[in-house]
Amino acid sequence: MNLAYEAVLRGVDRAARLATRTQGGRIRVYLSVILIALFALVALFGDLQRVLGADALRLDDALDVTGGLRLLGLLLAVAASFVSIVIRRDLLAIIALGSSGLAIAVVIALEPSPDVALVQAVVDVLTTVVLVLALSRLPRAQRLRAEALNNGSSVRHALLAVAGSALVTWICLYAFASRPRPSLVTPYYEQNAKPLTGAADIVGAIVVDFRGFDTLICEITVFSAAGMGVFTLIRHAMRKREAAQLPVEGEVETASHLPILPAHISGVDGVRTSPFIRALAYAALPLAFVLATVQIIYGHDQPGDGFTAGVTLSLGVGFWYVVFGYERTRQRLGLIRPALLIGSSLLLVLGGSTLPLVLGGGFFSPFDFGAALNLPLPKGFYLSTSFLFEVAICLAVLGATMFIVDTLGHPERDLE
Amino acid sequence: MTLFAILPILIPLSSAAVATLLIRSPRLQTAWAFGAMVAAFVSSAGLLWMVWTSGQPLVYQMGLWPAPFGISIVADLLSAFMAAMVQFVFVFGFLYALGAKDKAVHHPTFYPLFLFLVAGLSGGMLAGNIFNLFVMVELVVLSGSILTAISDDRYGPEAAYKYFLISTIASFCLLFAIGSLYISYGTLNMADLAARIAADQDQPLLPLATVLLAVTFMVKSAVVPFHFWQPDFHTASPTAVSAMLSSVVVKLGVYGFLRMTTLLVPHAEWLRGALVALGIASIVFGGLGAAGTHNLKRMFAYSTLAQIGFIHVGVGWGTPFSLAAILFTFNHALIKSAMLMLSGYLASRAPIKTAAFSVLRGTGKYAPLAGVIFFFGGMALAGIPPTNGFISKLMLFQSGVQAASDSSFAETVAYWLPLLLLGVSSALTLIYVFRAFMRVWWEPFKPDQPDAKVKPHGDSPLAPGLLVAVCLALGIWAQPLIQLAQGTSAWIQQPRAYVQAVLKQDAGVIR
Amino acid sequence: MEVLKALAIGALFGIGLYQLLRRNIIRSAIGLVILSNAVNLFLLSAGAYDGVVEAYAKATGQRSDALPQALILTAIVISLGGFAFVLSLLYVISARYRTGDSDEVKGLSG
Repeated sequence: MNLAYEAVLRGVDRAARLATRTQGGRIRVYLSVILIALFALVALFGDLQRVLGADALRLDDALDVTGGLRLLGLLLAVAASFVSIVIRRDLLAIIALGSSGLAIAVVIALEPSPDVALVQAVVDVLTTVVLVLALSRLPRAQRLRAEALNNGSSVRHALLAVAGSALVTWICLYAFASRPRPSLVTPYYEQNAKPLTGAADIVGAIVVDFRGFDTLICEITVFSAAGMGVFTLIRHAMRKREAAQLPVEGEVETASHLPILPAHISGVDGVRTSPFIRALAYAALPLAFVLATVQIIYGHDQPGDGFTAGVTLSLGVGFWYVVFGYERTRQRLGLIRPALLIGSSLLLVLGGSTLPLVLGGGFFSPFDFGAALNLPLPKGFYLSTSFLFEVAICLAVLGATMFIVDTLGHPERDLE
Repeated sequence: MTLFAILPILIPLSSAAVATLLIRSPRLQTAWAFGAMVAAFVSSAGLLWMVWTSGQPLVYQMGLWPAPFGISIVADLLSAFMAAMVQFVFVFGFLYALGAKDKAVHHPTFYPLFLFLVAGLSGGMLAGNIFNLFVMVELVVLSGSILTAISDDRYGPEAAYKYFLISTIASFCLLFAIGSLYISYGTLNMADLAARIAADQDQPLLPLATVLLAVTFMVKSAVVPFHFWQPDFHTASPTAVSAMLSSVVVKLGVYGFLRMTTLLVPHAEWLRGALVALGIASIVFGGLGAAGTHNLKRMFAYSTLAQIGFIHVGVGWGTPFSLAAILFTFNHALIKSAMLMLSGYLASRAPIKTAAFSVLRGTGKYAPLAGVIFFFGGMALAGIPPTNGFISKLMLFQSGVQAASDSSFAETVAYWLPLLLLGVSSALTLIYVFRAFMRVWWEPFKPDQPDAKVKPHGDSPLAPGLLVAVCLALGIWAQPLIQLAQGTSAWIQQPRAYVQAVLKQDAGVIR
Repeated sequence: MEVLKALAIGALFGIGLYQLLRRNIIRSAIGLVILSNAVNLFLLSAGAYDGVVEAYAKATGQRSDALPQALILTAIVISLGGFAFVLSLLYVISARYRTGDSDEVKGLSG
């Protein structure tokens, strides 16, 4: 009896060891297994042949100017992304990625969809900036070793990629070919945007009014959380000795043999700045501010909203970092304290949305305070809940982006 | 009055905003956060009470835009129950964090992020619109990742990275599913979708959307083979966080499946079969993994895989048996959070702060109270009376036997195999829990360094102690909870009431 | 023409997926961005109408479907936030493990 018990225990132990061996630790293995399982389930239960056998499909061979431009933009995007695979240097791959994103912004603008195109363009620029920042702070030897890995390829991964693109092509083909379709919700938005919310820009009305709760959670909360996360992770959680071995500002490739320049003509990494670029920076920030203000105030009737305003502002501040260096920018723009911005923006939006509740509407109902109080405001400017919302989004985005850019750019310095 | 439905989301969210402004006053921030969590729990318990007594779902339209054009927050009995469960367990999580000595807990942004986590989770349970669900899921993923990445454990960033990449794949699947559903039915509101899917099941993209939605929830609830992120992620987080992750955050996927199989796509029979099959695989893998691992916290993480497997088998068996699944969900949440907190407590008192068996060996003799709590908690995990774990396993067993006797011969395997595994897995649980107990409390304390000492004070064991006491209480007075679960199960079998409450019009052909 | 458009979006997705699975962690991050671009283009294709005119109240003609555009906007912001966080994770990981190779990041196993 005891022998049987021992045997069972030993069998269990051996099986257990086999089980824990599957957790090998390599993320690429995990991802491959998950993707294979995903495609297997799709193949088994996705009923794919039904999709293209449907009779309501309409394939159009006509090619007008807009359609041709769309195709060109898509081709550019695909080509640029392909370049980012095969090119060896990481910095060039990032630039290829940036161009791909801008081509996609063009495609989106041709949809036609100007709001989203603006957001895509702005986000693409910010992504490129952040990627280059992150890349530049990696130790050089490590970067070169990692670049050497770019030569390898894998048949298994290529097959997975092909399977993925086949699936997506399948769905998109159905999506394009079955237009026009009935939409049950869009006509409501189209008819009621101007009368019920005062906005001519329907997409803006959806984002800020009709589906404002989504925007609260996403554009304010998630984005602020991301900013806080980047700050906390690098600033507090990175140990001193790990931070110590990263290149300090000024140590990057070129700087060691350069003379120390006086403060007013040196920018980031001690590089010498010309009067032209300093003048440009002095012009750029107020311009960014004006652009941001326009986008917030008139976002209701034109492309642009609080999000693009916030990113525009932060790109302007980022430009100042590069031209004037980190320390001097912080001295002159002391008002930008990320945590303060984030907390107050959330409270602004929550407070602004609760007020209509008290005044006879619901939580997150649209309410035009300007009209209610009979304020003499310029044409097109409404002091409403949506305006407060846009301001709050701009503040939150500015705060979070500052968290991200500051921390990634200068991990060794202590901020707040 | 219907405003009550959004309080469980708004209270944590606004408190997080205030907590962000209190970044420079840690004591005030901590007190505020804990108070906010208690207030949130009171609101969600109140919501549950209101829904239970009124017999009708409570629906709030954000901005008062009519459904299906606006965002609906729907509190039917299942949503209210799960939101209340989540916030109940989180109160204990905050309690543990109050007494915790982690550096991570004392970071100025810990509490805002912890509050974001509970806000997103509650929002996900109460969402009535699938895109709103997506946004809440993203909030949960991001806050969970950040909290893990700032952990004292040196592998925190690695665990967070792997989790985030895998969750991103799941998010893409969810976006594809949302897009496909919009293409096919032109709406995003869940009640509206349910009514339209019931009326027209021949849309070409529907099966694909179902698969993609299912994969999303499989990743979220760590079903084999989408589970790879789970052991690392639930081990490397700070203790207060990992106790929440493994007990309630993972239940978001379970909630998703309950909604899919009862409301959205009840006709998808393959989904139920897949849930049973993959649930069986999770039970086996989770049990074996727990037996073979070298770290106490990791052992409990693997154990979660197995327990979630049981819940999925219960969901897959079909709606009449979802009673067992719902009961299991609640009880498991209590037990698992208690055990993970206890592991964290032991780790905090060990010579080096880790839950590895090699370091914890023999340290138990300096923590006798923890031993008592562990003993009872282990009994609950293995399903021995008089604990709530026993009640939930009994319910599952009973439903399984009943289903097996009613079914055809071919289907019997789907019932008997998991029942057999229920017994085997409970025995296995007993083995590895007992082995862990012996290693920590029975074996002598012989550290590698001669001067390594067990610290006299670590985190506070109050929270796990209270949780285990609740487990014992629920094992003895099980009736109220069973009644609640029964009511929930009855509600979700009538999706017509849900749809009518949201759309305020006839629900068409839906059951 | 629709075929070409669909092929392009599918190709973009495939390229992103291939990049995601590479060893160099910066390339892997680039793959994430390409993937989210592809998903956003898919959401754009989910619009119910072949738009000729922008979605503005004063515009006459067939407006492009405004709802998917709002969804894409939200999705872009979420992916930007997530991406920034992933980069900071990669930063800490490469400093801690002193490598830019994702296959060497396997401290947690078993």
